[in-house]
Amino acid sequence: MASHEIFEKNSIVLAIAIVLVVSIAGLVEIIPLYFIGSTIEKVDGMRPYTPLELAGRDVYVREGCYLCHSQMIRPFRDEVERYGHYSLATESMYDHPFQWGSKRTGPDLARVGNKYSDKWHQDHMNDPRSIVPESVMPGYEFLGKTTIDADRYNKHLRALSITGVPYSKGMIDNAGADLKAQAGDPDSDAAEALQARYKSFGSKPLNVRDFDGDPKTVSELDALIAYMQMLGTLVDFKTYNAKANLR
Amino acid sequence: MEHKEIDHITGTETTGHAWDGDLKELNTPLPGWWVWIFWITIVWGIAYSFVYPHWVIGTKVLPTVFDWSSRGDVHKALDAAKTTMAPQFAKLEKASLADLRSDAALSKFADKAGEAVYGDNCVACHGTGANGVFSGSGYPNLTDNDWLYGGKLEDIVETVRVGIRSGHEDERTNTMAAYGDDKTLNADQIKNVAGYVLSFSGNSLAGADIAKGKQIYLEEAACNACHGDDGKGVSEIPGAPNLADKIWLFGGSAEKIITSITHGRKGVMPAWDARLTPAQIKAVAVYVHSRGGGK
Repeated sequence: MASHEIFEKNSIVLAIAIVLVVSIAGLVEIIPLYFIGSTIEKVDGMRPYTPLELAGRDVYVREGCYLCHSQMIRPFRDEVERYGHYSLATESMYDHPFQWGSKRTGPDLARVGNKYSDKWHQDHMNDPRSIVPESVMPGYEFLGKTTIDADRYNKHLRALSITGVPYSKGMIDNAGADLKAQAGDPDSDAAEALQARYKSFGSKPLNVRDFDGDPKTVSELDALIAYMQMLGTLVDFKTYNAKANLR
Repeated sequence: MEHKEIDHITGTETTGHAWDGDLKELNTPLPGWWVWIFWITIVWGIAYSFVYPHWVIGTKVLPTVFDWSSRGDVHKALDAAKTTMAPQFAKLEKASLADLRSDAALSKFADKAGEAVYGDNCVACHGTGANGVFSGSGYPNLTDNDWLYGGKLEDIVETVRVGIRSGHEDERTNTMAAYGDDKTLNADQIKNVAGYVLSFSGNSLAGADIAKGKQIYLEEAACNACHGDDGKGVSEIPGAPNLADKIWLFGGSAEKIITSITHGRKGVMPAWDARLTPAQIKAVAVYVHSRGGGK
């Protein structure tokens, strides 16, 4: 009989053989990514999200912003001229999961940080058509009225640190205080402690201010605007060596 | 292998299996063209893996035959565009308003380059028509004659470069105090001064005592220090709006004016010098300047 008789007569053996053969392609493509030095670019300024930014990112994911907005500037001239430098792998390395998206009903947001004022973001979230008449984005007026439970954010940071995000013990333990401090007075002691904690990554100073125009509470709008205002601003492109990172 | 049986009708080999005693299957060979394409795709695949980044040795990706990379491609495209436009951008950076007016080609280039920059970066606040979309929303109309930080070409260039209360080291800024929040004025006084402010543009506010409002405007709150005795602004103090021209950045209703006096106003425009090149900033300034309001 033919040499493949064993596969044809034993479905379990056939199934195991199929899995082995199919996994070859995956292994050949995936395993080198863990070892090649060029997967993640070496840059200055990249740091993990602060608790407030992370809370904003949670709102972003919860509301499904990724369904209409990408966070991936592809390496094409037209994209670079419109949105800024093409996205780097390092800029997504602390994202679990990344928010690259696959559809642009709205514009790409990978470098929206510092592009518009906080007031613009407040107006735009409350009623997009009040400033962009042609917009089809839904309003998110409730974000400004929904407060954030800051005290559970130490758990979020701890969970992320298990996946490899380099949060220190101090960052995890003080997550709740840091979250509130970032949406408050930039000159407060708590804000200085927050700045000092995140300085260790060699990044520029954090944005600390009241983001949503209501200093009394820390709302989901505070968090979302804090997240928006830092998107794509971390990497220092003055020291980034594009030639060394061609791929 | 076992004995090969030839089917006598087709002349093709059978597989050798037999079902139900005598039911047999022809072992028809694959067509030649199919077999050729199969082998060609394998050769193609191997060649492809050397043309585009693929092979990894240790921690390094081997260079490709033509040294191709997708990022290299985009840098080539960007450099080519930069080289093509470099002479015009170099000329534009140095050009004065008079130069632009005498050089039609340069002026057209600046307008088109500026339109592209404006479309990508400025429309979100100032609107596609540069008219601020909704009057009184806090986003200035750039097509009128009212300029808080100067409407000359060089003023616009500077405003775009450093922004307003942007956190940039050279940011443009001024302070409109929050007279209500700071408890400098009480609600009645604010109403009176709002009534006086409205009178500059021929409007009135029912229940406001204009005479008392005038006194507050000139003395207690010293609004005239920035806005001028006649409400038309003080030319040495940029950022203080003319209150007599019926153009209201934050709204001209009595309610909006009272809100402005009570809480102050601190409009923000981002700085663009990190995002745009000096030539792009000049181009967008020329574009804005030419929309109707430029001085």
